[in-house]
Amino acid sequence: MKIIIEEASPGEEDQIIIRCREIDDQMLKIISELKMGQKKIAGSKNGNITMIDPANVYYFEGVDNKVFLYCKQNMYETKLKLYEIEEDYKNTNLFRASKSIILNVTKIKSISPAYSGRFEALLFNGEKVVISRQYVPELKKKLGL
Amino acid sequence: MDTIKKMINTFAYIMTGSSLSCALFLTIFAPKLEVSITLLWQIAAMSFVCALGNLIFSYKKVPSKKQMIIRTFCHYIYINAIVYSNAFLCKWLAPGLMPEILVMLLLVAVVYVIIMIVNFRNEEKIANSLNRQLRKQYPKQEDDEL
Repeated sequence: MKIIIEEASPGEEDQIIIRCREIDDQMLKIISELKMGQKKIAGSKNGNITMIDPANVYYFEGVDNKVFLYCKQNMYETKLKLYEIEEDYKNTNLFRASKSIILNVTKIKSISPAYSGRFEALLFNGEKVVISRQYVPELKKKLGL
Repeated sequence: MDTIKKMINTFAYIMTGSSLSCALFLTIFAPKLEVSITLLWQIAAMSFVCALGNLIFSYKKVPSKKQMIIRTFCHYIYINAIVYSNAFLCKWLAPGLMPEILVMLLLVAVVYVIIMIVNFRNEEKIANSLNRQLRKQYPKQEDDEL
């Protein structure tokens, strides 16, 4: 694969153009990584706003009409709704794990069965998140199974 | 759709388990009994009603471990209630025949546990294949100390 970098003309918007014969798994992964890095999410904590790279978010959780995002060690609140996050980050590493959780598949260390069709994802930061049975097919699709 | 598939699976497991249990039960307590086709339909109907018990595990919000244990207990009571109601209605058992009632209790418990184990092993296989793909596609990445 060749990577060509061209200087844009003054006033021209920065662009990334992918030229390929077909969009295979590798291409999809590259596009996903680019999309994840493009838009940062504003997270608030103790009155302070932090711009967070979605690639560093372990999972989003909706509780009592609020949405929280969990990074490696910290938790922030975001004004985005879960359905907005699901839509904006479709075809990225984020997937709906249950009605109230959107999980970053790259942060999953391992998955184990948790009885009655549910699965429990152990994340790299030691937290455990339940993946509902109805969303397991989506995870399988994300992993190419 | 997923719930219906799971129910069909459960129906098949219960039908198999019930048929084998029935064969064992009759071998112990009525080896010379001639059975009619009606018995097979009774077992099928009972298996269908037992499979409906899967709805106990449906949820809108993901239940906690404690809630799942309570649901499993309720499900087990439901299965026993169906089996015994069927047993007395279809005259498989007469009230007061303690050895037969106890053996049936044991058979229901054994079939229940076997189905739980089979389901768990299937889920373990799925988890293992997911883990293999995870290790292949997403090795641990460094990230911000956020």
